[in-house]
Amino acid sequence: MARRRSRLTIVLVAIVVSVTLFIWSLIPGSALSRLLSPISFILEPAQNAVMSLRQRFDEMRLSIKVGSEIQQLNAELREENARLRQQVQRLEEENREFNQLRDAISIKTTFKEMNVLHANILSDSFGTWFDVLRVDRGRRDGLTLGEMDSAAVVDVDMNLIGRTISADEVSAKVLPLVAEGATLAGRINRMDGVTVRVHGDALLKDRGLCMVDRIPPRADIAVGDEILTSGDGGLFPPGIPVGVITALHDDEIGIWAELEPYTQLDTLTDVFILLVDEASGDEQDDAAD
Amino acid sequence: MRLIEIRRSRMRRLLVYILWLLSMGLLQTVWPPLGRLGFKPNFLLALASLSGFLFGGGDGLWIGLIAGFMLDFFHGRAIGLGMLVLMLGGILASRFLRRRASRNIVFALLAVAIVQVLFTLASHAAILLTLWLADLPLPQPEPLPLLEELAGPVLPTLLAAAPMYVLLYFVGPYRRRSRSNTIDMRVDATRI
Repeated sequence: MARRRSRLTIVLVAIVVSVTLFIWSLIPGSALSRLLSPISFILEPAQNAVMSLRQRFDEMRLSIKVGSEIQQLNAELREENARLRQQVQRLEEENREFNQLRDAISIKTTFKEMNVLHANILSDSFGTWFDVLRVDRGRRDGLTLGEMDSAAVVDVDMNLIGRTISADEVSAKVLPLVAEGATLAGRINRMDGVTVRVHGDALLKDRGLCMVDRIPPRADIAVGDEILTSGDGGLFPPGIPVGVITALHDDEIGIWAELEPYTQLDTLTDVFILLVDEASGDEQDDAAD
Repeated sequence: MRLIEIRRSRMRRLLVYILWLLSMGLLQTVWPPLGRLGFKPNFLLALASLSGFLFGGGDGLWIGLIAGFMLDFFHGRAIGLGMLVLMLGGILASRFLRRRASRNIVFALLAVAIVQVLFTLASHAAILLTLWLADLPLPQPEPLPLLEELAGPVLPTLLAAAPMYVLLYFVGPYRRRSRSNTIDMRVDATRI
């Protein structure tokens, strides 16, 4: 009897601890992440090692797959060889132009007032609620998140992935845009583009899409329109490409659209965190004064 | 002499569980998604449920709590939900048809499937809470996608749980002799 009572006490204590931790970690900027830093210190090297093993395995598998495909295509390619030689010259010229353009518009110069922090993905999303990406950058790299702070996260092509939701000393969690509950203020990429709300939706998430709503009734919006961050709310800097409208609906919940984000979460390995450069912020404040 | 043996068996149990938890936690982070909807096996959930089913409520509780913490730490938006659900899952699995089903792989997998469904339901409840707090539109309940969401992760988790059951049984935290005695005694006691 006494043993059963003590076991029940353990279960009750465990439930109370879990619920308390759950509520505590839901509070923005809670100190819980900092308390969990020692665990990150221990687990991060192991995770990095296993992740690099997986990458090598994927590369090996891919090279075998590609190798066999190349063999099949080889015969066809010989026939096309002559035609391709002509195209190669043109493509080389285009490639040169592309590289010049890419150098000119680098991430750093796009957001002069931001600090760009490169990060590797340690673990990707899995299932509902357990859908955050963990990256190998934390407080020691300058990723300090206050109570209402969050940093935008973009991919190598400057497309929006999501935002950071918590950070410990060596790692941080990123909530992807397609996750339910993720929300941002967007703008249609036109001269007179209206502001809309973009957010993750339970049903669209499975197809890798987001929902666009709060579209004004007479707004000029069409399939194929690009959505950028508007900068409203202060979480995301304005002008980051988010995705493209793929379908429009008008039903009982009003006008809404499906948005296909530019970034592909399945193939993502590197991300960039956009941090507000306090030095440039101070300079701007001084200039304003 | 007996004290040393008890200590040694406790140490073995601790070490084997740490190894299991670490390997399952790391496997969970690197395992690629399966199928069109990208479902992944929930290795940590399977470990918690099988520990409870095979070795009793105490093991299910502690392994569930730690496995849940790892799940929250690696993948969760907040700490706590995984801990709570996996701990209760471990306890539930230990109570699952225990009079007839001890050491029966079919019932073990059934227990894992039930815990997986409860886990998915709890995740959805947490998401609904988030949407409600953020003043976002709540999804309209549609039977087919909901069924797909509930049933989808079950198969990958069962595929992972089947070999895990065999491994836990033969190279688990308890020596076979000592474990079978414990289980037989437990079964006998409940029958009495």
